[in-house]
Amino acid sequence: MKVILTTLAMFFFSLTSEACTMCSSKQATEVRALVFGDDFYNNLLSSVLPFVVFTGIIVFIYKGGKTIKT
Amino acid sequence: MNSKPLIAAGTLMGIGMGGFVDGILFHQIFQLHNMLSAKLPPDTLVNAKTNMVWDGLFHALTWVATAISIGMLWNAVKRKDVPLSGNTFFGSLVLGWGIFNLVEGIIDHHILGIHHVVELQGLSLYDYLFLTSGVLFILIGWAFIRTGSKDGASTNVSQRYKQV
Repeated sequence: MKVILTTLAMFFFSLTSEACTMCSSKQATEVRALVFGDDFYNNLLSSVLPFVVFTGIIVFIYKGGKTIKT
Repeated sequence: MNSKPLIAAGTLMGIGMGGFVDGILFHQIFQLHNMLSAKLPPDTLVNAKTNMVWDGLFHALTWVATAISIGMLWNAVKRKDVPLSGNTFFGSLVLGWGIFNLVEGIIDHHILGIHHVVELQGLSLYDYLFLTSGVLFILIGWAFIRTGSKDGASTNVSQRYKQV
């Protein structure tokens, strides 16, 4: 059991040192710079905007519109 | 009787599941596009990983939509005035998927242009097919919802208890 856990931990940490978003590798630093760069708020708005519209549609179905009698 | 709580829950669940189809099938399995692939082509590891972060935000939002819909569905089935029609629920799911394709397609593909269905082709026939699928799903979903009143299984929670 201990061997399996140690192997998993080594596998996990060896991967995170190369590819994780939050670690301190060169690639991760570049990724963070791109994510949180000048376009961050534009990109955030672009990603969230459809869901704002979805929320409005669901509220309209739930509260607005005519009652559908069944 | 009031079907709106069931329709709202099913529609939101359809939006969430439609989002997962888009994200899992197009973003991950086929990798035809990513969230920002028109602005940031995923042709380097750093660009691909940056797109992956924004794909993750998109998936997180679809997860939240699905989770909220489960809560709404739970509340709907407990209400005595909500008929539990299979046709209404199925139609709502399809309606939600259609709304996802139409709204996401119009905003992200056409207005903002942050990605397209097949990124290598830019804005192409596939983007219009995506919108068309949205309209078709909305019509099919709405047709099922309209037949909900004729659904033999239409009943509410109190009637079900009486049957038992």
